[in-house]
Amino acid sequence: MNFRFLHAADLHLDTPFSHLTGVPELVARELREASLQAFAALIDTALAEEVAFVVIAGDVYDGSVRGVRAQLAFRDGLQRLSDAGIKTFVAYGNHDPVQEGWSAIDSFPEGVTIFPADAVATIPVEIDGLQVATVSGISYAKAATTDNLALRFEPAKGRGFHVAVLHTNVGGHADHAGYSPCTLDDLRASGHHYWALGHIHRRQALSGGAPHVVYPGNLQGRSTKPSEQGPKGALIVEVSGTTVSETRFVPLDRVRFETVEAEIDDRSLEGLEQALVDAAAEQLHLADGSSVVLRGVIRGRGALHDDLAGHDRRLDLLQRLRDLAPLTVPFVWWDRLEWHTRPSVDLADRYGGDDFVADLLRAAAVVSEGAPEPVTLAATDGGRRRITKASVAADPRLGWAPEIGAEYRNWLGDLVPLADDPELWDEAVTTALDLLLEGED
Amino acid sequence: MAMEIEGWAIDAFGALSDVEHRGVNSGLSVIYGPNEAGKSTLRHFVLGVLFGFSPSTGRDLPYSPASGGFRSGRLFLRNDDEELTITRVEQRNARGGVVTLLGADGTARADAELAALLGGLNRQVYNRIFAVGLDELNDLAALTDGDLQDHLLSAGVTGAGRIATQARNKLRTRAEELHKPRAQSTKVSSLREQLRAIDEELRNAQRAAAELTDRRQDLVDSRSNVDDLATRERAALAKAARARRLGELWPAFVEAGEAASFLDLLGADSGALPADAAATLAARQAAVEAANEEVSRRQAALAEAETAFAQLESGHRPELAGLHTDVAALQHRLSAWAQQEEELERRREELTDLQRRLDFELDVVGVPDPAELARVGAAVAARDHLKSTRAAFDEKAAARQRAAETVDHQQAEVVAAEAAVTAWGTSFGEPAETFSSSDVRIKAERAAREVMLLSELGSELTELDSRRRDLAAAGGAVDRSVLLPPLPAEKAGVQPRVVLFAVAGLLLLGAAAGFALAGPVAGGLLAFMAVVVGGAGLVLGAGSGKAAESESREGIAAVLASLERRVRDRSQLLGFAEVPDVDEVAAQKATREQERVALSDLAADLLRFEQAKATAQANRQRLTELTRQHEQALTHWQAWLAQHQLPQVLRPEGVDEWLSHLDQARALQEQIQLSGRRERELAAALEDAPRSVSELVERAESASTDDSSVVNITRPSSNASIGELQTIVASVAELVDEAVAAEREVSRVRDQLVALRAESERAVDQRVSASSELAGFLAAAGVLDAGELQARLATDLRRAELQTIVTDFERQLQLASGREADADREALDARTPDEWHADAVKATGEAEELAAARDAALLRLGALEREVDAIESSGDLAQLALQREVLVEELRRVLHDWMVFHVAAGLIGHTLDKYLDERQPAVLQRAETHLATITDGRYKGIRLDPDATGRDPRLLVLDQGGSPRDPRELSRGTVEQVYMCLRLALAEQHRPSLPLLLDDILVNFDPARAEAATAVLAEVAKTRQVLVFTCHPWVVDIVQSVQADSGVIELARIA
Repeated sequence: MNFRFLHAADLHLDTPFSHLTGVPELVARELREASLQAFAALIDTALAEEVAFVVIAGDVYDGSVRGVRAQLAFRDGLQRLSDAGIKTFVAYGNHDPVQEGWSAIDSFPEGVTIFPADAVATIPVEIDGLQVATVSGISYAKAATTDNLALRFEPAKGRGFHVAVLHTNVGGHADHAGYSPCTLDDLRASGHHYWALGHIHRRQALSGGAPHVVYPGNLQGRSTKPSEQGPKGALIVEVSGTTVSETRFVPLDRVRFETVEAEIDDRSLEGLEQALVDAAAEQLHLADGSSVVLRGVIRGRGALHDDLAGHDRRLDLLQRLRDLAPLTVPFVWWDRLEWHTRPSVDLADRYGGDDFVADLLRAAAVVSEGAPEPVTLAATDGGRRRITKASVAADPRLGWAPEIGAEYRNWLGDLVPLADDPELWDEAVTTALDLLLEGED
Repeated sequence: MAMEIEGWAIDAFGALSDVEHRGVNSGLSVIYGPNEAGKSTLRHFVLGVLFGFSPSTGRDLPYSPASGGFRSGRLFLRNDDEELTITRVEQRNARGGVVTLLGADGTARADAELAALLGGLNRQVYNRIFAVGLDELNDLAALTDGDLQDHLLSAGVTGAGRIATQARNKLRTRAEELHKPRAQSTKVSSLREQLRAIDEELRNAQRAAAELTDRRQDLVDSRSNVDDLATRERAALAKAARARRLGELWPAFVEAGEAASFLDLLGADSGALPADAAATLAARQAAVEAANEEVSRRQAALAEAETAFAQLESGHRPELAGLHTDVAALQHRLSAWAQQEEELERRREELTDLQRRLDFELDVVGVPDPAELARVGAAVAARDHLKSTRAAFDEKAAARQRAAETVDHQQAEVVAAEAAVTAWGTSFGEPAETFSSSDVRIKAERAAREVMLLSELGSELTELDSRRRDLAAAGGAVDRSVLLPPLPAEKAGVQPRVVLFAVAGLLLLGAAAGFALAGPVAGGLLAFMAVVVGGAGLVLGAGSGKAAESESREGIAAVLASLERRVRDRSQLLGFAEVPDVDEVAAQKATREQERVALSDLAADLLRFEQAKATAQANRQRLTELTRQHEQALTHWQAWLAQHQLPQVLRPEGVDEWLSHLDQARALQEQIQLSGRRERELAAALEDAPRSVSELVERAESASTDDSSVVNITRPSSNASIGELQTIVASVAELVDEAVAAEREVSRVRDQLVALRAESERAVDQRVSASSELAGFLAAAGVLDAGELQARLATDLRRAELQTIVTDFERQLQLASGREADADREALDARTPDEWHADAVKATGEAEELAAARDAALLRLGALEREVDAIESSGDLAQLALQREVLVEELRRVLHDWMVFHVAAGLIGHTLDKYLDERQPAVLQRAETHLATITDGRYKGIRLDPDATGRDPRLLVLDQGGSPRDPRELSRGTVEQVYMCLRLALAEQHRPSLPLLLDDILVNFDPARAEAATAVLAEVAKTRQVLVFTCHPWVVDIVQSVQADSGVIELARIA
């Protein structure tokens, strides 16, 4: 029998957005509402597509901020599915483990299955009295679940299409925490036709068949991090018997995070501004009704770098871009501009000189490389090695790199700026050069 | 390795074009030229070719070729033993121009080679190391202490010392603005406080959200409590309601008990009467009664109708009614006759009027006999002739009339002019109308001449009097020559002489006119005056001539005597007995002026009078002639009337009107004939009316008269008017209408009588039927009569009433008590109303207490519901979390920037420290050697101030005794020399070695130090090329005296 189901994960309902500053009220309000609106769109899509069931593979909430509003919105959405006779299967993940947090929901609507944390549960799905599928799943008992839960799944048995629902980091994805780690082979061994996974926010199919192992990505992007950028939503999986005939992505996000890039080579300020404005317009067009939060990355070498050296001038450009962008829904919000530009002078040429700038370039290279012999900057541009704390500690002249207090580290966590961060170092060298070269004029 | 400039070829650069120079020295060279020879241009050309031309944007186009086009040129270099050429050509869109490095063989070298050749320097850095100008030295004098130190330090720190320290300090300041551990007013500290606050808020909000489950349980408990209280309240209210209900049922309960007792007494029902027996009996009896009444009413109506019919039948006349149609027809004809009679009357009045108007017209046209009308009409057939004759006559009459009017008008003018003339009579004392206008005009002109003479006399008298008063004022001296103005001959003599001759001429002309107009007297008078005046002129002329020759007293006396004589003669001529005084002359002049004006006006009036009279006379003659012509035309008209036998009343001016009357008379004659015919026709038609009416009257009388009655109707006379006939017929019609109405009534009553008889018979039948039904009903009920049946019915009714009371109570009990009816009945039987009342009061009190408790519980419930709703609908958690994330991100960015600034500042500081440690000692050592040379050992050292480390390093100069001196304490020239030494030392330390460009740096030095400085330059030039630009010949001399083999390149002033 043919049927379709909806696969979503990492809803993170009503949870905050990261890495944003200075947002105006309208943008803040839209960001606050975006995850709930995206979930409402998910319910609308399930109803419109007349899916047989919906699976949600963990992280419905964001854990510590499991707000009442989010829980009630979740319950209401499931009620709408229940009213339409659509079953829902939910496996909680590391952000909303069963034994932690609290629940504002007394009871879920009929047809909703919350997978338990102690064992894998298997629920049959019938259409017109005929069993067409079974859905198995397990929830996290607590956030720090490091067991390989995939191994708890029994081999698929019985008729129909077998779906397994799990929140996991298959293959130990470097950018995500290693919760419930497992391997692709672990999943293949179970005999399920479709592994409906959650946890990795970038949409991807680890296996395109026998079985299908799929991350649908999160429902709504939450920052300008690469994994949070681009269209976000859910998957509609078309099934024919025990075969996946089609997997279709449906964008459901209300605010989209994107990065646009521009080169300054031979460009005037107006030209750069226009290039960024055009890029923003294109992103808004591609978002097809959703709002867009943009991170601009400026690259290249040229006189414009010299003209815009200094924070104030660059902030002026950022503010001007914000002023030019539409601030009605759907809006465009320029979150930041990242400058990876170089001065107009050829630093490689200056590197071999006998002046102070050359001394500084060589000093920076020594620190960068951790080696006594200077190398040309052109070589360092392409393949600078990561500066380690060890390399910094090895050179007592790096005493200017300050320490950041423990309280700030608590707030920033992994985001705490470090002097041995290559990008930060590069920015510091460029800042110093900007001031020195500005003084030469 | 040392790069040197061997020469240059300037294609176009500023004011220089097509300039080439080769063979520049390797060591020291002087480039000399006066102002505007192009030294600065050449220096910029060298820098431009080496590092790129300055952008040619903006208002100033640096060194754009004076002849237009692009900047371009070549530099010929020596690099060790290799000859190189740098070619640079300015191009659009090529920053700095297109540069090419060529080897000696003409092959192009890689761009990197040029960069390496220049040591990776840009123009700015090159300038800071290898170019020293007089401007920089001059600037030192104006610097503050800090700036001076910066400059000196900069001079010795690879050209970047000052910039490096400034940049480092700037970065540290920026970093400290963002974050400074333990500081409270930085950006980071502000964010820290905000984050602490929001974390606290977040914890509180999460606690509140976590309490939702407890609040929900409270909500359930509260709802249960409310429900319990409501249940108990309802029970109390029910108890009170039952007690009140029993009290309300008590009276009915008692009444029902009594009714049941009576029912027992009445016993059981005696027999089964039909349920509707009473109603049926009443209905049957009412039916019999109604049938009796109907029979009586129908029979009375029948008797009344029969009586009326008998009376009607005795008085009706059908024959008379049969005349109805004839009467109507005759009335119609009479209406037509009445109209004809009215027309006949109008015709007769019209004939009379027409005849009267005909008589009038006949009288007007002068034809007494109407029979003559036709003939006269024929006689005036030639109407055109009649009209043309009348037109000619009218023209003559009109001309005469106009002439008469002109005569009348002219006569009025004559009268008016005569009246004006006559009015003058009083002024002249005789009838003015007898004057002629020409005589008077001559008199007026004569008066005008006299006025003029009087005016001249007055002037002469005034002059004479004036001279005499002058003489008297001079004390009566007789020497008149002293008093009289000594006039020159041509003025004193000629001028009066000319005047007198002119006056004489005028008088002669006046005399001629006087003869012509006023007669010989006036003409003679004027001629005499001309002679006198002319003579005076001759005398004066002669006197003047003499005076011209000599100014003797006798001559002057003669002039005065002449003047007196002339006055005397003029007085006599004007009729004065003796010489008058000035006032008399003026009075006489005024009188004569008035006379002159009057005579002039009279002359004008007389002329108008004479002209009016002449015109009136001519007009009268013309009127007479026209009157004669008019009378002649009239006579001719009358002859023409007689010829055509027309009435003499016909006047030419009345021809149209006469003809109109003649036509009117003939038309009236025709109308009279027509109306007469119609009048006769109408009279004949009316003759049948009396006869027709008489016939009708006879027929009516015949039909109306019977044995018992006679009807008399007035018969019409033979000449009765139609109105009288209509009256008679109307009376007949009235009789006929009555007969017709009586006939209709008889028929109606007859039909009614038949119907009444049928109805009477049906009423009798119904009465019989009703009686039979009553008897049958009584028999069926088993009673003998209606009385017996009614007694039985009364007993049954009472029993039913009692039963109703009992039943009503039971129904009331059921309604009020429902399922508790039995219990209530027992209760009614068992307790008293007072007891039930007490129960009701008590239960009501309990219910009120419970209601109050329930309301309080509801309030608590509402508060709980709101609390839960607030928690459930709260977005605070998400909002707070978002705010927290925003702050965290801002903190991250600020700390990132802080770290960047710190690292950047550290990097600069580190580089600077390293430089000071490793490179500066050599620079300072070399610089102090130069300084000692230039100052002849007065200053021998340059050191970093050991007490000024850290952010602000300072330089000190050591004197010959080794004492440190602050640069501020040195003379301006010495500071410049320290600066120059540092710059030279810095350049000497730099690798690769590049040419030094020095711009007039010696001019502020005294001769000894200038020479010593030149020696230093020569020393420096041993290892690198030194080019000194100057406009001072003595600099050339010094250089050549110090370094004999130095090169001198002389630039001529640009044309």
